[in-house]
Amino acid sequence: MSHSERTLAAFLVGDLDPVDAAEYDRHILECDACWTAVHEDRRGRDRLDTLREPAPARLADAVRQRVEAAAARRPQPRRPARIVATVVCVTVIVLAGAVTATRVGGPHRDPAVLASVVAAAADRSGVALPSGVTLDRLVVDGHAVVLARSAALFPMPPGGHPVNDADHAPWIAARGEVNLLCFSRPTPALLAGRVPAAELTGLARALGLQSS
Amino acid sequence: MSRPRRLQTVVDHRKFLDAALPHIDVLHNVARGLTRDRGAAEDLVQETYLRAFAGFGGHRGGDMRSWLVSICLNTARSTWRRSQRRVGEVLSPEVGGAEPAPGRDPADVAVAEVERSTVAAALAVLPEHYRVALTLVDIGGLTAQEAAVVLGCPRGTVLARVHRGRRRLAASLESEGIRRES
Ligand SMILES: [Zn+2]
Repeated sequence: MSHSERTLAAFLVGDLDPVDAAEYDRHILECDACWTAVHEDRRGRDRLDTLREPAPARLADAVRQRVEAAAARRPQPRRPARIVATVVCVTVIVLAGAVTATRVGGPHRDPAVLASVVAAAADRSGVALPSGVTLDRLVVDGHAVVLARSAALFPMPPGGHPVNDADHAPWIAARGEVNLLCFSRPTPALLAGRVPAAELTGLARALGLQSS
Repeated sequence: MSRPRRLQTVVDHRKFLDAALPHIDVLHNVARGLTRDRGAAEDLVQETYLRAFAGFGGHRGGDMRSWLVSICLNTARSTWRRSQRRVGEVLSPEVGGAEPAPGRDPADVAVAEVERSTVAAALAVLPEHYRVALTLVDIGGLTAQEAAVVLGCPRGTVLARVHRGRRRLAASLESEGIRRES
């Protein structure tokens, strides 16, 4: 783009300051090339303007229906390409020993849920799940993890700590090789796996879990 | 044993639609500039929304409109690659197909539609980088800065392509007009 063409494009888009723009206005009156360029530009823009129109109402309806169908038909992790394997139903077997091993205080929920999630993340085959808690086994970026979800908050166990000072901050905790990362918002979600704590954060992000 | 609820709970599709559907006019206009007819444009818009829904969690901050337009453009480009044709060769003018506009004189509607077809056909044969820049800025209504983000090029490049594209379009439409009259 020549210098004069660059100035012209800047003039047309309104980038020139008022003094330069006024000077360019005068120049256009005297310069055939610039006069032609400006008017051709405006004619082209005006013709293209005729192509603009609102989307037909049926299109918004169709989009809504297809997105709803996609949401209902299959799991829609936020970055599905990175999540290889899906969901297994978890057999309910009571693991009383594990429950006592990690018994923690907490007003919201029996801590059995934490023991169950740790056991599932450690690849023990059958784990106990309190009612109202769902557990998905996932492979995210090559890491096997489990994601537990519940309507109730997951209690932070002893040794756990919030990742920042914010209210409702996510907390992290470690149980042997298993690291846990827990979010309270928008809905309680507990991600666990034999994955370094630092990586767990990235996997949570890949799953679209909220960090604040 | 109750069946666990699956990961769809991770993405609330209503949240997605609330954030993304307000941009449907922009996407529709962009898709019109990138495809050969209304049917293809509507397919492209739907495909764009499905892809955006799948990737919604990956969208962190940034402008939703530019993000959706980027997906639309990438989707169109992958369609072009699949069809092994340049978009200009796929495009063809069309008449009719718009939703009936209540209260408008049918003759005016027909004239406007012919104008749109003529302009669309002239746009379709422009080199792709002009066509895409004009589609984003003049038809889609993106700012030059937004288009620069979508295209991954400097804003000045967008301005240059828009300017040259408009001139080429005007010149081709006018030369055609002269030829028709002679
Ligand atoms: Zn000049």
